[in-house]
Amino acid sequence: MIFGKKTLSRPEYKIKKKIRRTPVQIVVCVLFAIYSAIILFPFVYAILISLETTFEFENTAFPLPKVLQFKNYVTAWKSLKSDAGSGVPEMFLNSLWYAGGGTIIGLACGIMTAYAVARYKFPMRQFVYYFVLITMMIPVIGSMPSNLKMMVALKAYNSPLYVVIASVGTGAGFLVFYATFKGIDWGYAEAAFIDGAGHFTVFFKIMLPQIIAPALAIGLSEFIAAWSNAEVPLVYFPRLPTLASGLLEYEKVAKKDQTYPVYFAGLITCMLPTVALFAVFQKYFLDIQIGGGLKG
Amino acid sequence: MPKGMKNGAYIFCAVMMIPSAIGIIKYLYVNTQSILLAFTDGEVFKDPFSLGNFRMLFMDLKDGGEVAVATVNTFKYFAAGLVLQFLSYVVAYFLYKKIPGYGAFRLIFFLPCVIAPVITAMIFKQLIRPGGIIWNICKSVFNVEYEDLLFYPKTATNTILAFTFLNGFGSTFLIFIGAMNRIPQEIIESANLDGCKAGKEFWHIILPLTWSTYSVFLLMSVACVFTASGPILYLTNGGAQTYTIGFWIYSQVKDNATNYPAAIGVFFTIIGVPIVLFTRFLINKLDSGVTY
Repeated sequence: MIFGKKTLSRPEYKIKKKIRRTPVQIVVCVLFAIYSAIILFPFVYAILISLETTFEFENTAFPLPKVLQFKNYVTAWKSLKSDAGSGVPEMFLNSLWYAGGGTIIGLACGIMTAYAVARYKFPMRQFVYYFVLITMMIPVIGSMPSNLKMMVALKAYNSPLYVVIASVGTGAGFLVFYATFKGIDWGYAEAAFIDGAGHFTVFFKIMLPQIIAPALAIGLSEFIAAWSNAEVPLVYFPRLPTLASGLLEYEKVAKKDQTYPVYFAGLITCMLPTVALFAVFQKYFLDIQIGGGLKG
Repeated sequence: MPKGMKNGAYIFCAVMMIPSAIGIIKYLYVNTQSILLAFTDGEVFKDPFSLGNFRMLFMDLKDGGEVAVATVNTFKYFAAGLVLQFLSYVVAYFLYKKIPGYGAFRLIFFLPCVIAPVITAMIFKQLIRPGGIIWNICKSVFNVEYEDLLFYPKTATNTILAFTFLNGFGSTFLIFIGAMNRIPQEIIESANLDGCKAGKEFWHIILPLTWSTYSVFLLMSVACVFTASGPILYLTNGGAQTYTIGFWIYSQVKDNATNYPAAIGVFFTIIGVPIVLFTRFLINKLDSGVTY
């Protein structure tokens, strides 16, 4: 140990270098490589389709465009229309408020509830905790009809207001935040209270900065899940289609008019924001998932 | 907390709990309304209460109607989900053992999680369509020409199941790796010194020590058995008898039906609760109670 940092001594280094591979591991490695190819190939295939002409698409089984048709992306952006008549820019905007708004509100609710329940003693505290646990374990099936009726009654049907009403609650990631707040040393807060800080100051200036990592990880997963979700927009705001729901509906048109290359360009456009987010936060995102596993 | 701050704390807690209070009221309202809808043929409190929806449900189950088909499909998807979950656990084990290229495999296996299912499903449909690349391979290698696999009830559900297997392991395998990483290395090393091989290590050390993590996912699969709808919307939209209970309710609501789907929801919730509780009991029985 040098200045508190662990360094590998020579023998340890040698041990690390000598990792023997068993035949089973080699076989598994080959199988994993094949499975990886199965996962990756469709995306390459989709990108190639999006870059070929309609004629090439109709006449070849494997897409091999002679000239890359990047204009398909421009056409998709300009001319793809959902059943409700929204173009790609509007659908993009709808995806943004649905996924972004829902994530921010859900996270805020989850953090607020988890902090109060984990760190303060007040009546109904236990009730809230067990309420979340029970509703997770025993989901009520078929509440969608009454939920839809409620949204209509609150004028949230076909409106961005849906996101606010649907996201307000015990929030996203309550259990993760609850465990995180429980694990934070309360001494920081006590020191701040002695220095005259109020409860809100402690929450915003001391506690929130300490949960940025899990909040970002949960926020990203929630955002990606909402961005990809087509079921909810189709039921609760069909006249405000998101990219996922709008492109799902557009498939009928693509099938009829045989405009698959342009359609696939639209699909790739839909994929870009989440892939970009993943590319930027990739290492951090994977590590937080692995580090955040439940206690074994 | 210093004395004298209690009132401030109560006000703070009251503010912090506003969203969850709204959430709880919303939950209770929606589910009470759902139960009331199930026992009405029209509007709650306007039309008389009746058991008509439940009568219709039992008739449907008896005659092998849509709900009966949906129930069978639900259990098919559930069984496939359990197999996939176990496979993801096995995959996690090999990645935990750091096989060559494990970093790249971890990344690639996770990739489908960040891509909208509408995209992966549409690509899959193009790949398997008659005249598509898979169809051509089948024709040239096996001399088999198939019809649209997603059009006929005989093949559609199995094709959707195949899609779920080919679409990665979700994010659960990462959480399994996390649980395995927390097993003290000394335990594994001492077992290896005693001549413990990979198979024994997996069944007798890794699985018991990560059982509490695995069992949570098992329990969640059981809890969500009647709500899961998978990629049905994207591949067949419920056509060719591919719907599950969850998807059937969803498609009914999309078509503005309310009372009958609510009744089906209430019925399957009543069936689901004892199944979940019994599974929890079994899981706790199997738990070796080892902590580390």
